[in-house]
Amino acid sequence: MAMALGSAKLMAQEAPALPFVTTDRSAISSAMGGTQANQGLYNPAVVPFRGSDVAFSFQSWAPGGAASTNLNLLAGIKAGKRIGINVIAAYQNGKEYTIYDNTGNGKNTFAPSDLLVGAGFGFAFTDFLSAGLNVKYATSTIAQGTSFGSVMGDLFVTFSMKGLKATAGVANLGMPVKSGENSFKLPTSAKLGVAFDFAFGKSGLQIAADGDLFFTGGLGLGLGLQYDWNKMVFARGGFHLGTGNAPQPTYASLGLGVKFFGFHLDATWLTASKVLGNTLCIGLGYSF
Amino acid sequence: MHKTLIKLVPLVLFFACTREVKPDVERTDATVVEKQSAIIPGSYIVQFDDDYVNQAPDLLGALEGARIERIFPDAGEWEARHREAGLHCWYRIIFDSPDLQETKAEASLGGIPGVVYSAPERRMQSTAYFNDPLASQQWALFNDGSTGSNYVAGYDVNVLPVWESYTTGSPDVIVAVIDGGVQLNHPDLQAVTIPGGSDGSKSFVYNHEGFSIPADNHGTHVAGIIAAVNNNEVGISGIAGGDDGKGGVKILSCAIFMEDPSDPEKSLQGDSYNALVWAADHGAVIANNSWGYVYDTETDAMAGGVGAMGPAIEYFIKNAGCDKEGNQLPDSPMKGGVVIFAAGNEQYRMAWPAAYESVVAVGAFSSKGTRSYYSNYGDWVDICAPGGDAQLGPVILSTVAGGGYGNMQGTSMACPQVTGVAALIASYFGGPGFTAEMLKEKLLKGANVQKAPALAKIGPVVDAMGAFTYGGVIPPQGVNEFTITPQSNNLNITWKVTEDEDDAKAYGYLVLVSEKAEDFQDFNPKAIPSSVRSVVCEVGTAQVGETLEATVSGLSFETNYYVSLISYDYQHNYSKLSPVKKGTTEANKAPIIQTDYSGDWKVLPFETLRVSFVVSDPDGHAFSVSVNPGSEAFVFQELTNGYQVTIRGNGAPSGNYTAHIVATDEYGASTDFNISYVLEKNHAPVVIKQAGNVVMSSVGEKMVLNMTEYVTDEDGEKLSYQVEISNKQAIHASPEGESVIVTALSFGASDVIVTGSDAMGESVSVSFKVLVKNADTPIQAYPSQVKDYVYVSSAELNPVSVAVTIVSSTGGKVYEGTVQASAFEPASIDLSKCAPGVYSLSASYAENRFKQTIVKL
Repeated sequence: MAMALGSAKLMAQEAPALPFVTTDRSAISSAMGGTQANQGLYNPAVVPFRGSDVAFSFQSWAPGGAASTNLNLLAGIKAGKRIGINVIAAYQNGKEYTIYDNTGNGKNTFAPSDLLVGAGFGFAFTDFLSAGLNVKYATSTIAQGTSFGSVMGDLFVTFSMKGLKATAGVANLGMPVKSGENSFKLPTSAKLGVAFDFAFGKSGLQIAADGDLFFTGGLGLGLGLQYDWNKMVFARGGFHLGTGNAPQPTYASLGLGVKFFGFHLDATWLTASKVLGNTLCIGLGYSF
Repeated sequence: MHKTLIKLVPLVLFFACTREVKPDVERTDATVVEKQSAIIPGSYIVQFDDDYVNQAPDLLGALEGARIERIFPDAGEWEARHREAGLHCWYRIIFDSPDLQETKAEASLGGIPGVVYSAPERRMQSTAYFNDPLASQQWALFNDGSTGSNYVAGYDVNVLPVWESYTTGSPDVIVAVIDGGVQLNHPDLQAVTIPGGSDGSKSFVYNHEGFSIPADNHGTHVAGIIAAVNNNEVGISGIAGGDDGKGGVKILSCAIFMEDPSDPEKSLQGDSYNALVWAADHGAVIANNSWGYVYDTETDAMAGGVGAMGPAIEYFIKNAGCDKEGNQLPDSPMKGGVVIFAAGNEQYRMAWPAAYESVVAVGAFSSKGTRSYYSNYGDWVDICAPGGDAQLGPVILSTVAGGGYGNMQGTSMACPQVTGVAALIASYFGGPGFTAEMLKEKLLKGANVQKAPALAKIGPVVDAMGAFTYGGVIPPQGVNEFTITPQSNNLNITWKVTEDEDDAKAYGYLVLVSEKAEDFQDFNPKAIPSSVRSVVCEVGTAQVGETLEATVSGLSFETNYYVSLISYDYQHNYSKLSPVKKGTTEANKAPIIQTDYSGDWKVLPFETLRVSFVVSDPDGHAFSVSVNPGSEAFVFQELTNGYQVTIRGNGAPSGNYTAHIVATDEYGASTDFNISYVLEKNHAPVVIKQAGNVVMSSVGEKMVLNMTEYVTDEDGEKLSYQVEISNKQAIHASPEGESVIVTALSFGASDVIVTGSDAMGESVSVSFKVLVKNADTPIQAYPSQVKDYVYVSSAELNPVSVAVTIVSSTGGKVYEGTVQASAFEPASIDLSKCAPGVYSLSASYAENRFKQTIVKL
């Protein structure tokens, strides 16, 4: 029974497919405004310059929106002096929703889910320059018997000298997702990022900035700051700006971390967003 | 040679009785025997419709020359229950003039509003002459064939007219029962049995001789048939049992059998020779012997003989009722004795001592007048009587030992029937000079030869009335005065019962009718001319001087007839012809068709008109009714208390029609009654107002729609409604009279279509939507699995501004805006450009906040 006779029709703007591939799953970078470009857990080109790190994180994502529960595994392994290998695996368990039909009558319920798996390889051509490639597969199950997925890749080039790291590349480049007769683009973006680390006494400071220009429209800008004392205690903060069709909205982030003998425990809290506000991420990792 | 009881078949004992009303005899023609008038003159039974019964006294009171009474008077504390059973609706009307013609009276009663039944009150006749409660089961005393298919009229002992006109038995007559011992103190026999003693009853059973009589079923049964006390309100009637409850003839029990105390299956034998001699020497003038000798084969029986019983029988015949010198005793009713024997039950052609020439041998017949299957037979059988036949029907009810009653069959039961009649003859005719030979002559020559079972060889049928009237040559007095009352083509004749010098009263009358007076010149009742119509009317129980009525029916209309009567007795001795009178039949009157209905004959399509009619024939003739209905809407039905016209408004297309009702009597006179009726045109129902959509805010909530606010019918008809709903999980909706009840079952929406139909099937529909919303979620977005559009509705009937935001699973905003939405006009947002995935939709208006996950497919 159509109940919308004579109603006004309004158009939503274009939204990219499988946007969850842009979610920052690290309890460190997500606390720094989502500045991923120069983080070894995302960019295999950075791994030869930063060393190895393996982290597991739990996210309570977007309680004001999709409200999913995410389990993430991220790894950047340095092999020899010039090779970096990355692994990523994430599973998102979405909130159960009631299935209303075209007349508004509720029937059953369904819980959506997302899956992301990928691997990357980085190689340092010199002591200053490296390149990396990630290949990922993402799929989303949104209704009984209805799933969408695509294979995508990231390509990065990183320059590193002393405390400075700069990365440029393309993220989430892949085939569009098809639904019926329609095709929907992935959240592919041209990415540019800069990070600078320096120390003063027992303290250290890292400043990072990322920018994503999405091919579907919209711009994402991230700015992050990390202070550490004696490489043992970390305080982080950041801000992310999302404009236009950018998958991630604007938000602010705060985080804390501790590290002993290579093991690190980190926490992030997002705020200043109706949707992402109160998103939490707890991560446990090991750096070597 | 052994003696034995005539075989008997004990059947069920009966201690109950039934009384039945004898059906009235219908009006007869010339070939049918007519009874006394079946109608109580001037008395009518009327039943009122319950709606009119309270006015019955007033309505009936308007009848001239009549008084009324409730048949079931006010019963006080039982009155409520009587009324529930409808007893208060029945009245008796008694006209002061009993000669009021039946048809006129019925016509008067038929015109009274609310009278649903009226008929003349009929006489009742009991099959039991006395008040003995089991008498109605004694078909041997009175069998008119009405009890069932196992009965044929006339096969009884015809004792009722003897009781009525002659005698019921005198204690001066002593009957010896040579049999098993009679229970002397049986409640129905005690008054007539002679106690044991040197001058009374005695046992002749070997080794049990003496004056103590061993009670035996068979002997007691036999004694009851002969002399069970009449009118004592106990048990049965005996043929010679008196009429005052004190008994009739006396029973002298001479026991020659008894049950062997050591083996009840065996019977102890007694001295029958001396028993019969004892009876002769102690006052008995009739000896009943329901026993015979046992022969193993019929051949043995053919070679048998009476033996020593011969002298004993001859002794009884010669000396009973006489003194030692052979003279009749002064107190004895008869000189000499009659010995009566049962013929036996072996189906043999010979039996002894029954075949002995000097005794009266009795065979048995059934209630259907056939020889009983067991009865011995042959030319030596002198007479037959009811003995019963269990293979065809009922047997014989009488007294048994122990104070009760039982059924038995056999010539043993037929024998005492004849003995009882013989005892009546002795009672009435007995006295100085009356001899046993006289009794035998009346008994045997008065028996009914015409009714003797064909080829049965069991003699003529015992006939008490025949025996009493045997030899009579004096005809009854003729009729001098009679009246003729014409009624249509019938003549009703009334006269009074006349005397008979030797038979007390006339037995019957011939009512003679002819168009020619000369037919009655030199009239011979045994050769009635074919031009004379005759009706036979038997007197029955009417007494001398009482009025009899006969009707000669089926005569020509408006014709002069000459009428005369002639009386006759049981022996068909005819009186002289009565004076010849002239009567004229009436003209035939056509049937009458009438109704009290005075309204119009217009019927709307949804109406059914029912009108009661009375169709009657003033002459009482049979009639038929034919109907040309005019259309299928018109139905004419015969009901139990009249006729009814039913016109259904939707039974045929609208228009003007005429129905013709014609009532025709059996002689062709007819009456027409035309009914012009109109089947009105139908108007379809119309919608006068559209129903608005409805929001229900809780499960269980009910809503009533009065459909008369939305639909009307110009004809004023109440429509019938049907409801269709698209979502039976969300709501239940059903019609109730002219309303529709909607009940919310669960959250959701449904289309509702209510269709109202009239009697002609024309209909109109009203549709609306019902939304059952959760009061906690006034805003709703649907579907949650979006292909193109997602709809956002509010709980308001009129649109309100709703702020809507839709974000992707990562929080990216895909829509933000304010939309206008109501419960039934939601805002639609096109998500066709959004990639498949999970989205979150938030909406708000006023104080209402809402968030819901949706997915874009």
